Amino acid sequence: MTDSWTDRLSEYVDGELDATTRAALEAHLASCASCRATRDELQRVVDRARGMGYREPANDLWGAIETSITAHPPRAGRRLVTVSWARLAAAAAIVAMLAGGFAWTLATRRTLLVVTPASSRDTLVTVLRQPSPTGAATTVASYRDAAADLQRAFDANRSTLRPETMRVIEENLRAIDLAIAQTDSALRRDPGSAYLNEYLAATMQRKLKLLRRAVEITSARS
Amino acid sequence: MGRPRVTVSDAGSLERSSSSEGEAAANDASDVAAAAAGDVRAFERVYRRHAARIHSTAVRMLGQEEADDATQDVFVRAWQRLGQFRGDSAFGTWLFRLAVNVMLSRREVVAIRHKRHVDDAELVESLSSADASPELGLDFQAAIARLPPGMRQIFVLHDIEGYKHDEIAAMLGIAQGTSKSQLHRVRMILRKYLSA
Repeated sequence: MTDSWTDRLSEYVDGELDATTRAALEAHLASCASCRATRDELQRVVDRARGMGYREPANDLWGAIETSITAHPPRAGRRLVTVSWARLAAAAAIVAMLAGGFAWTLATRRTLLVVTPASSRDTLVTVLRQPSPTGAATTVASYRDAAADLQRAFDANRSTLRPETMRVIEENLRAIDLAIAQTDSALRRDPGSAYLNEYLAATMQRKLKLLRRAVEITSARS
Repeated sequence: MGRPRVTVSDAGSLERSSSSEGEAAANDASDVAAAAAGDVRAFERVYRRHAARIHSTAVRMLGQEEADDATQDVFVRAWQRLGQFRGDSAFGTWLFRLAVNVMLSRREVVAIRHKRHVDDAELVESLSSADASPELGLDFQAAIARLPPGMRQIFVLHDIEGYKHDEIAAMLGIAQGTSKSQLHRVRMILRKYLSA
């Protein structure tokens, strides 16, 4: 037999009811033999589950595992946000194309080689399929995403750098950010300027390069 | 988070894993570091320490016939991803979470391979309406195996492994309330199989 309290009995057994509901349920239990019996059964299910334990596999699986892993050593330290590197690659490609002045004439897909420093021990070369550029807004957004990801990666390990190194990197980043802001401002007044577009792209690329180098340095030290 | 469990050895004796939990964690730390550098023997020690839990969970979540393959899959993937283990949690916690993900993704493949289109409600009804397990030949463990996959996973993760509803909800992509209500349904079913 069940009643309106039955559905709350698991929560009661697990100690998840608030004090008021718990008190009301306990008052009900005092007068309902059926719910008391159900509560006891649920408690026994929980106890039984907790005591089930683990059993070793009947077959020794290690041989098959060893065969599989021997052929493939662990992939060491690809810990620096894979997405970020992919994003960086895409943004760097777009920025590079902008700087080359032929970005918008390319309709076909190209392949780009990007060196991604995954750790001090491991340099990963990623072959990335580069999508066709879809517009300046995408380019700038991709650059910003990539720069933000790199900045986070850099910030995570910046304490490994000596203060002098840190100061030089930060001064350079500030100078580049200022140049980007000024160029961006000038472009708003003269959006058709090829020179300003190319300069902006080149400056964005400088920032990505600097950040990437900074991350390489901090990765090598962490 | 999972709680310390009991290990049933081949001989059938029970060992409290909690008594050596700290020692196991310390061994894990050194062996995982060595394994990440390519030491296969260190990784074998890791396997020996964790195989029972992973395999038993695979049996419960996927069934006996899939458990060996799933366990191998878990450890091969763990080996490949050792470099991603940051030590933010115990290695056992990291490994078990990886194992659950592997098992959840395999579950879909298993269901397709077996063309299992049994309606969950029908399954629950058949378990609920059985008068007693002797007629069905089902014991407690077998009754768990007969549960619909979603309900079984919630039961395994909560009542056997000690995960909380919010953790289970995140792992399975369901609402906490669903996890709670499904768990209650499972327990109401399984109470009939207690004596078996």
